[in-house]
Amino acid sequence: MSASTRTRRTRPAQFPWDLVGLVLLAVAVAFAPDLLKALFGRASVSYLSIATNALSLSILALSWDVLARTGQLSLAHAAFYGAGAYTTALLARHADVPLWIGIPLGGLAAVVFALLLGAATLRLRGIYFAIATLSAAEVLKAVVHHLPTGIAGGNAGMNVPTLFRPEFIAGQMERWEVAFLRNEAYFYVYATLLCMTVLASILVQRSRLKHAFTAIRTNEEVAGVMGVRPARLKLLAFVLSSVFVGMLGGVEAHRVGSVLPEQSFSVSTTVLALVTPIFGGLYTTLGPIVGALGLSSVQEGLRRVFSDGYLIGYGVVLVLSILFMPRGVVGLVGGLLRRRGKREAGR
Amino acid sequence: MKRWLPWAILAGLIVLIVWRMLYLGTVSERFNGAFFARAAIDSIKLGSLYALIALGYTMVYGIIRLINFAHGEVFMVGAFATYFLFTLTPYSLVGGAALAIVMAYALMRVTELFRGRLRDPVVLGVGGGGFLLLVWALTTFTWPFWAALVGSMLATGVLGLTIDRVAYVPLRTAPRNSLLITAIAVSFLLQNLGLLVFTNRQTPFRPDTVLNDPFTLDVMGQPVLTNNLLVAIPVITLVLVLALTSFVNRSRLGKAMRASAQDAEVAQMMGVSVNKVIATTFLLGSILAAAGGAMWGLNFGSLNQPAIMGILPGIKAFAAAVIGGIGSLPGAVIGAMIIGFSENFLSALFPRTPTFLGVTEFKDTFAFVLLIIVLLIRPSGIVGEDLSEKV
Repeated sequence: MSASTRTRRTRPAQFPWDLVGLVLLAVAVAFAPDLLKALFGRASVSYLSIATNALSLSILALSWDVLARTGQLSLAHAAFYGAGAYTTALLARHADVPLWIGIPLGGLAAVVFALLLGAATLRLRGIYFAIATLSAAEVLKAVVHHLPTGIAGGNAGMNVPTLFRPEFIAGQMERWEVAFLRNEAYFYVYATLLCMTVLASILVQRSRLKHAFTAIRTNEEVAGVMGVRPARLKLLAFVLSSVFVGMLGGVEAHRVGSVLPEQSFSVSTTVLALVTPIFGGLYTTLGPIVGALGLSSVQEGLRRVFSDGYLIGYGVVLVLSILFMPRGVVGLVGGLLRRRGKREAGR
Repeated sequence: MKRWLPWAILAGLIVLIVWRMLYLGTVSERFNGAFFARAAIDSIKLGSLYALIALGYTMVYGIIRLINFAHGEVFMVGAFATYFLFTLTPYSLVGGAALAIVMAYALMRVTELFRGRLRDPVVLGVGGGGFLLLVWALTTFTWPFWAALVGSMLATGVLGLTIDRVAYVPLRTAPRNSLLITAIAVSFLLQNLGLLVFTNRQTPFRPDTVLNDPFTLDVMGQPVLTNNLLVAIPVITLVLVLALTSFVNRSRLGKAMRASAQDAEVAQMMGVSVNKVIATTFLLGSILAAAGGAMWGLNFGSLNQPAIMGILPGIKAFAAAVIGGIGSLPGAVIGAMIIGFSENFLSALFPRTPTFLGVTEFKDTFAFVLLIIVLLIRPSGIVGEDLSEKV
């Protein structure tokens, strides 16, 4: 009888909220486009693309969080994103690779870069790790930027074919429905990618990896003594984190229709990847998703209220929200629930 | 590591550089002494500017272990505040009085560093007198550059204090990651505020000052045209750095600062007001960054648009602080000089020739490549102690 089965028996049976949540999420996104169309008609085209942006932010945030669980504050997510985007774009341009193969290959390229970066930065901790990853991202951006124009387009970037070209059929549909169909298709691609990311995150959280990651985050030396292998697990976290961002970059390259050095390797990608999970609640599956939904709605709301300079309001909201919930949305709600539970138990 | 090894490496590097310079001299007439002198001049100026920014990063990180992402934007505000002071003065009475309050408060905080208390008669006197003098000065004449520089340093110092008070003080006991968010949010805020005021255009920055006067340097018989900034930027930087180090090493508050950097909790128990120490680091860091911003504008003749002006200098200065060993003041200066030299001097050592494209295009990445190399060899920077336990 091994130790693991014994602990499993003594642990009280828990309702698998995470898996149920994933199924609910899948169902919700499956019906979301039709619901939006029925509710808003023509306006649903733009709502759908806002929702897609929110999904994209969720993928970015959740994959950043997976790496953060090992205590590594990565500032390289723009590099993973850009590596995926450029690989997909280059394959589409020079090799005529079918799009559905190009996107996973984009994820693969991000993984390769992540493994190299991870291996090089294994010794670094905290701030040194952060600035080294940021530097790697900047260097990769410069390299891509200065590749010969014939290969990667230099400063002007490259055009990338779109994935979906719904046809307009006169009489059967209205003009805007073409745009709706295209946005809907992209929405489903992003939703699939998000579900895959969520599944990966849940699998990590349900397995012993969760505790191994926590151990590495809390004290790497002690974790090493206890039989956890920090180097190997950190690399695993790098792989899990980068693959989805790379694929996201690939899909986004097709959706936007172009890749540019400044846009694909933008610092703001890195910043969003880090701000969103902290806002939502770190080291959980739910936190980054809640954070992404919250932040995209705040941003969209502010954009509609103040047209120019709405990002000032965004900054104010971020500062205020962290002042009042330093542990993120999930941390705040969790704390409230726990306090109520305690009070009831005390009664 | 053996004591002589760093010196040996340095000597080897110098030999390599000289050899490369002599070799380039045989390749083309263009790469003569004047060519390298020009590169060296640019390197020293740029290195000094990075040093002024890097000191703010290293001081704040040394005490509260926070990457102050807003520091690049403080630098940007410092540059624009100088611009406002030498172009838009004299102000109306209301605007002048408002600005005078801010600057007089900064004056009080600076005097407080020497007197120890804010309620000291000298401090109050300086504040009151300074206020009246500033109201008069702000509303009557156009400020010369040096006055704008000092005024902007004072005003930006108050900005640093405000950022600390609003965004960091309430989070002292929160997880450190949440501080990161407020830092990013503040920099977001300042960027977009600047964007709203200036839209996204370059701002010319040509004050009428003696610092911009050109003079010609004679290098091995060839003339090198430069201006007084060659002397002014390093000298001003040196004065500020010396003032800072003597403050940190000699004064009571400086001692408290070093104690807090070692162990904030123990320092607090011993009666050090850690909050005051942290506020002081923000004040001093912002003052230095504002000086850097003003001279940055002077050096390049224009200011980039506010949303991006602070980002790249900020990141590079941060890289400089890490290369030098974060938390160490001399380390920050050394790191900044290394980055300043690598940016300009490496471009000069590997220039564009008929057979080679040159590395000038990759100038902006040198800081980062260098950073990665240094971190891989010495994970805690050049003069840094091993921080891996604390981080």
